[in-house]
Amino acid sequence: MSISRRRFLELSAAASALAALGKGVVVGDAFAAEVGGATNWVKSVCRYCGTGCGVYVGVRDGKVFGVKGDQDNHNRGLLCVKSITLPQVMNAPDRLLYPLVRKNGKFERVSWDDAMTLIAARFKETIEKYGFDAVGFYGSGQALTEETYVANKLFKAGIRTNNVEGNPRLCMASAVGGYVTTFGKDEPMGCYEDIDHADVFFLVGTNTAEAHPIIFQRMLKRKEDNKSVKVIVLDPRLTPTTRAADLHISFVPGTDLAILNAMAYVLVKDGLVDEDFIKTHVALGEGTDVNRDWEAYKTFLSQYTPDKAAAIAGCKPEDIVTAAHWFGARGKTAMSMWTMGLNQRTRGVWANNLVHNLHLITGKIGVPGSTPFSLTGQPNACGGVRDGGALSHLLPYGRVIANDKHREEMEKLWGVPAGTLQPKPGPATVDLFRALEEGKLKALYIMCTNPGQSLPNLDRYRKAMQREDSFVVVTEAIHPTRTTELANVVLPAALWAEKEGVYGCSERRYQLLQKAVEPAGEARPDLDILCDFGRRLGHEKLVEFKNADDVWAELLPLAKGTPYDFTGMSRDRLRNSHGVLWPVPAASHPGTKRRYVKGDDPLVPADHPQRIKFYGRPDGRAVVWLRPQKPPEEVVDAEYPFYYTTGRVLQHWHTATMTRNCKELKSTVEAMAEMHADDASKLGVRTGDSVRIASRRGQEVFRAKVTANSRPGLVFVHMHDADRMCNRVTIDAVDPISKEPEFKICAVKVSKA
Amino acid sequence: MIIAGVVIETAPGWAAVVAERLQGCEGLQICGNDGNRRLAGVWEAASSAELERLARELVGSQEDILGVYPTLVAEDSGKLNMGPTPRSRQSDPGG
Repeated sequence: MSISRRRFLELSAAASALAALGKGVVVGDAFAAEVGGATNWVKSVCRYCGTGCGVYVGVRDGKVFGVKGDQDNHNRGLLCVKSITLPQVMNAPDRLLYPLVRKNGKFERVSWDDAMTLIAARFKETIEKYGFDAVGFYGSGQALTEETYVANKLFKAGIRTNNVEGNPRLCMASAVGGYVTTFGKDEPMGCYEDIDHADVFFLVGTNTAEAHPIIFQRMLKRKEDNKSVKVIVLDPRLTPTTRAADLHISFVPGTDLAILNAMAYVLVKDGLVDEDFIKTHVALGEGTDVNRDWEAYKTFLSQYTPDKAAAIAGCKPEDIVTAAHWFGARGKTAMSMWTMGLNQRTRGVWANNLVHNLHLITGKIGVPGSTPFSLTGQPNACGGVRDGGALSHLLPYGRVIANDKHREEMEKLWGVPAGTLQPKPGPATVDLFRALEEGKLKALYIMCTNPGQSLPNLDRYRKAMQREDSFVVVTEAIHPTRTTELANVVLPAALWAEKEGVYGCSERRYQLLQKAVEPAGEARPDLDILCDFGRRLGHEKLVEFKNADDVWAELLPLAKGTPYDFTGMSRDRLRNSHGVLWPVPAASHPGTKRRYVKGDDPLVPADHPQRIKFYGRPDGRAVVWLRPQKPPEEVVDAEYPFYYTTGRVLQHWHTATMTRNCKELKSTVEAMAEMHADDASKLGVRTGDSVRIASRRGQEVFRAKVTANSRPGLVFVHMHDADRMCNRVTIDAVDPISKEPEFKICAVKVSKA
Repeated sequence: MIIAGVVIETAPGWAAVVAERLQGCEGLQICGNDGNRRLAGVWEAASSAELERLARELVGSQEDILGVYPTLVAEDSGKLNMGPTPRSRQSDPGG
């Protein structure tokens, strides 16, 4: 059958929409005979957020021409606007097509060999002159698992430095800290399917509608199908997410720990706790030890009556009571979701602990519809970085640098002499860039991320990257970015459908991105670049990989026997599936929807006497932590009277290097300072006026947007604009446990510019 | 010319009624429904901006239409594909 291009597109569009409806679809006559005729679609995963939507990449004449949703994946064929416009990014005019080297202040095109020779020489020279800790690596939750693994192996086992960090330190580190301190091991125990069973959604510090629209859509479907479903949202701002809420609690930024404790107070006081579950599965602790009992917890909570918490938080006490009653209602399931509003805080780990507390004291965990569930911002922050062990304190699969046995084990597995791996963890991200500022770190390899826009207290670290004696290499698909503009060498990296590898999303689902087209220009996959770099440094035995399949073959045995075991996830299985949820220790295992649950999680013994075993901790019990309310690092005062917060909008992602290339999206890339009408009135500011926002660290000028969405005393700016960079203002104070910066709260003054 | 696959979410049970009502909607061809609350359609418009505007208008003007989500967007010119912003009544900050 021959069809025109137009008819082909119509049929493809119809097929994609019908696919999204799933089974039982009533198909109109006009399309019944022809849909499904489209071919040449390559299975893949969306490049953007951590939802991990399954997609098919349409290829025509060697170019990506379309994207459609995968109906057999968890997103059921639905995509958001960012995913659907991905083809424009692949062929964008600012794709970097060849290597660039800065000479006399200007970038010049060079050959790959010249660029790599220069990089290897500078790194060798730096190591010889200043030692291996004078070089470092800064990676990304957007890199493929195989890429991140090889980078970590090369730097830690080859170069022998633990100066290995990445942008997941800026987003999910506090969630990891929360999981590890409460449950003993990283990663959520629930899955997306829990959304279909939840009776109560407790959303805190998340604008899900914009940051994770497909998850939000699934939540709305659950709510629309079941009128009794309640949505509780804790957010200082009115957002598209709060508009779906049955109860929205706005509060003074940084006071949500008081609210979470007050909810626990109500649950205990009103008898909504599950005493049997607590007796069997819960331990209690304060500080870093399991050292408290239930009575001590009740005494602790007495500081957080709804009245007291509401006075701290600037909300209504009756709303706290309602939230607790809905969450704790007998016979109802409850699912919590959160993102950066909790994580990007100096008490981010504590805030995570307090959400887990609510589930543990009510026993609302490990059953369909009841789970704490962090939402991830990047497509592979949940997979590649933990699997690869690519943070300064980590080794692959939950192993840590500070553990002698873990280092010995990895030295054997990697075939390097005993004592190769350094025992002292390297600096976390902010300290890594401070080392660059101080001249201790002299050469930095940055892969697939944009710290020149995304670091907090940005001007400080942009200056560090521009030091006369620093040498910065950036591998990136797009140029210029606010980081490549500071680099000494910029290498063109293959993007998304131009290479193959694995992404792991929020629900522990690992999926294979298959290569659909050849890289643009002279671009190469980061894996190739890293292996080339390793060979030139003399570490060829560590990087003997011909392709990503080889890396995966080396990775799987490293996972075996760990709590993150996915040795049953062969490459072929990934290629033929729509994602598999780990643990999956054998090829015959179907994957695990709910961790720690007997009969579902293969790591829980079949003869375990209870339905749940928190095997991440030695005693098999999760910890309810006594975590007091603490203010943010910076609170408002007479000089800096406004709170400043940042976040996402639907149309853009991260530093917008990709989404700004989509013509339907770029008109919304300008960051505006959203402020309440009362504040605007006092300042004499109207929508469209320029305002200067200044903190103790830096300032930026934005156009104002006067809105009822903002809480009085709060200014919001989205994080995507490369011309008006919100992080010139943010604070680089970090959580003492996770080392994640407090992007979400600082004090500023606002004036007309 | 933009050609888009879209899923239109309706209030539960209203899919067939809304499908019938939308039969006359210019540029929009309904090609199936799930018998309850979701329609599949193909929408053609002069530009992506126009498509975005039409989607916004549809959600804003009809109480029983809860959202419009793209599933595939292509340009009938051999160029790259593009898509409208998904609109939903719940996610409209101006709503």
